[in-house]
Amino acid sequence: MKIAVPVMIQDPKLSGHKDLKRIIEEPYVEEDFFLTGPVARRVAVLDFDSETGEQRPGVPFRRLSGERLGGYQIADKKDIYAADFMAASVFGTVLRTMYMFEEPDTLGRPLVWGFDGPQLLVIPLAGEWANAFYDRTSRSLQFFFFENPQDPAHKVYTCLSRDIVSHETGHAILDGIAPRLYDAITPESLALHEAVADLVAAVMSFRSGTLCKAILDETKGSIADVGDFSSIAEEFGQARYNLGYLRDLRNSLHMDQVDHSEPHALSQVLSAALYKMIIGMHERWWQKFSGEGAPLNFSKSGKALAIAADQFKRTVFRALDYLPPAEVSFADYARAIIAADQASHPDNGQERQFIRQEFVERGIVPGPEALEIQTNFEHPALQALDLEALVSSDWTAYDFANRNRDLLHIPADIPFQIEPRLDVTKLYYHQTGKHMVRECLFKVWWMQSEPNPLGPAWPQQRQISVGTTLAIDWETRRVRALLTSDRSARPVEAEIQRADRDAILRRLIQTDVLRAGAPTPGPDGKPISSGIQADLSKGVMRVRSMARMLHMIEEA
Amino acid sequence: MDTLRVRIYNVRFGDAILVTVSDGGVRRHILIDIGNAFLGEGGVDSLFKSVVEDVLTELGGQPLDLYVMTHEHMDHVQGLQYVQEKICPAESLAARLQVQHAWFPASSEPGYYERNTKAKKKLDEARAAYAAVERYLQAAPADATAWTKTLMALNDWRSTQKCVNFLRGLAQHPWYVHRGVDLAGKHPFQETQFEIWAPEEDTSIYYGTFHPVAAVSPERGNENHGQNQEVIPPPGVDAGAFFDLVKQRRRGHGDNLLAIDKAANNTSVVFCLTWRGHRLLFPGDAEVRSWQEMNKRLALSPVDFLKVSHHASQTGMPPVDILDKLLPAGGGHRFAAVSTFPAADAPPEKFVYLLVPHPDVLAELARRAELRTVIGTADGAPLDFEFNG
Repeated sequence: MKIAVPVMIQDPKLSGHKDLKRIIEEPYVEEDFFLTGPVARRVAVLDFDSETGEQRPGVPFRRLSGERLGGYQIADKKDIYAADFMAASVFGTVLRTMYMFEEPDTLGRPLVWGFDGPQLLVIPLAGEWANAFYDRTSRSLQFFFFENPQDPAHKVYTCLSRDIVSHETGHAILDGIAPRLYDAITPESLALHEAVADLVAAVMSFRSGTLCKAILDETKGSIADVGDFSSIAEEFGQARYNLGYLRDLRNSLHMDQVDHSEPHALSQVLSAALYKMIIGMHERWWQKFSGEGAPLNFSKSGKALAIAADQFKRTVFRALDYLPPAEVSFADYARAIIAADQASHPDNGQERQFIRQEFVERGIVPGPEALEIQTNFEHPALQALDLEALVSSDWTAYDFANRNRDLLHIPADIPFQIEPRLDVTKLYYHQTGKHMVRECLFKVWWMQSEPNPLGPAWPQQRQISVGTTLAIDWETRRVRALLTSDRSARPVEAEIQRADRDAILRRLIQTDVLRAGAPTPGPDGKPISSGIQADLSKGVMRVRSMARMLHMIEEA
Repeated sequence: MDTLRVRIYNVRFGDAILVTVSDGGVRRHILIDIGNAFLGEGGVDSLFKSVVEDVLTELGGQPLDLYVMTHEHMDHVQGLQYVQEKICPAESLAARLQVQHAWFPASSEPGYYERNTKAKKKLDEARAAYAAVERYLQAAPADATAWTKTLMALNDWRSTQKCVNFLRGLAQHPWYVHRGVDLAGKHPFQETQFEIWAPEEDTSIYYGTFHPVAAVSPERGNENHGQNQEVIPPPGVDAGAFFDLVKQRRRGHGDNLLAIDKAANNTSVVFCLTWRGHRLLFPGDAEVRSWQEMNKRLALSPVDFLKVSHHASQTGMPPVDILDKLLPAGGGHRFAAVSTFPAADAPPEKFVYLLVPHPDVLAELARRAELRTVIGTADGAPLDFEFNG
């Protein structure tokens, strides 16, 4: 069933709360059913009155007979501050963000959530607070609102910010693709979550035809110096910090300039390094459509931006499938991007070259050799492999991993876990045309102990997850990519990541956020839910749900 | 022989400490807090009469040289106001005590929050969180456990504000102190030396995050009253996920109360007194956050006397690496003094934050120092520690 849903594409303040045509679109969403809410199989919006806690009736859904499209009955589509508009807008934005990932040239499959259940719950008006978050435990996205000291007449509703909604949806989506990141204690893993979520918001901006047209008209076709796409959550940033944004993806930050124990600060280095890529992509397509060597033709800029946005989307999000299913670093993500690109476009290394250069310049890796990765090679273990059985049979998968520990970097004699195998077919664009590539994604992970120098009150050892992703070309049985977060061969990276883990854990201890042992009851008799929990067992510490600290803004 | 005496009064759940010292040939006195606040037996107020009478006897008509209010919690601030209003309303306690100098945390100074906007933001959040808990408990009274009521009473900023204003009015020279402040002129002591170890001037660092808690409709009751019919999953919504979410959104007022309480405790004035080679530490109710900050900023070294923080709770205990600096094992004879009242009205396995005194804390202190406690003594009775000079 397909319907049109109004969604915000820019923060209300940016239009002066007037020109709604500029800030609202009505794209289509298609699900197998729609109910009053809005409610669909995978997403449900719950409207609670923040003053009384009462549940408000949802936005009614009107079915129409025959070929006519039904739709949500919003009382006044111009009243963006009405609860029914907000509910519909956030519903549409969440779904559209999901669709972007499911497109054939991105992940090429339906998303699954990081929690055990089919449905993500969304609360557009969760209460008064300058924040928004994704929470795996409650399977929810929660959006809050707050008074704007700069403009007391208008509260700031985070659910009306497409950037914020897309960003939080990005967290939920990434949790389904790489669930181990949620428990990661490596700051770069948490920062990766933040950076990807910010890039999701940016790409969603690029996909808005209305917004792109308006901006390109103003800039005469260029996006190089424009903040509309790169400035995340403009109204929030203005109200809270008197800045034009909450974060700006255009920056020249170096790893030495940021606090490695603070994921939001770290994330800005990664997201800016990657955002710069789309500027280059746009300029190259724009030149190509204008004619090589010819002056840039403004009328070609929009088409160039659309293609560049799709290319950028494929580059940064398709690689998420290749991430090792464990704690990872920025370098691991870069290797995944390069591997995904190299496996499919072995002869065109322009984007890979850019990434290597940019990551070295920003101090993410010491040299380009750190991002060299072998792809498209044969391995005897795969030649006679029954891929159907590998995907469908847990036993076959376990046996394969156990017999090929060396290939998969699994240490001898330690237990490991296998993720559900994925049989995915993705669309690739080559100079020769479109190609569908079918691959099997095989992911294995295990726990590894390392010293835990946090002081005598803490266990001497802690555990982190380590893993390997093996991408197998279904037709040729060649290894498209083999990526591991095992650092045996990368001792310098290992030391940096370990030191960063020490720093973030010390910071959490110092601020009394990290709690050890079983959750204790609070004064109300219910378990204390704030803070980060560390399980202690036989002298080993394992931290859970570190990603809970990833709200839109830093917490104290 | 000249002596320094620390007298800790049994005020049940609270603190009241009188330090008497021969300072350059002059007998001088420091009074640190007087208060208690615990529901039930821990908060008996009538005992303040004998405490204040003893203080006045010790003063012998001389002015009180220094009063220290460590932080704005009822179990530290309400005693003197109680005595004035309930025990001797016709006499001026100010005239009898003649407090010369008084130290308050920097954040107690009028105008502090106008100058410190980050701290003001946090204070506003804390008060909003407190008000939200009040509304929640009015709507869902069954959720008001004994512990919840205790923390609400301890942290009722309207009541503590009245006490602080009263205490401010007692002193001829009120001073607002923080780590790094110059104490010259802020006390009359000649040979006794003081160091302020905490709090930091910017108290915003002591606040955690306050999370909004979903409102509860007062007409419908709450989830503790059997099946919660207040909200029902709409058609098509996963019922299990829905009810888990509702439950999760209603959780949080306990966390917020704890955060409010900790912030106040962590703004405690922590001071070290040195007299003729003896070092005595009075940390108020400083908790882990404050201890960590002190450890980061100061070169902590051993003390001969420790007034155990926060009534010997787990969270008032310095982390082991810090305790190793203050009370090193095998490092000579030291004292640890506990002023507390056993939380008999709650099972020990629940709410360990206010399990006082915590047995692990007492055991650890006993390993390192001669541990003495007011528990078991009569109401208002003094527990004395003497140091010869």
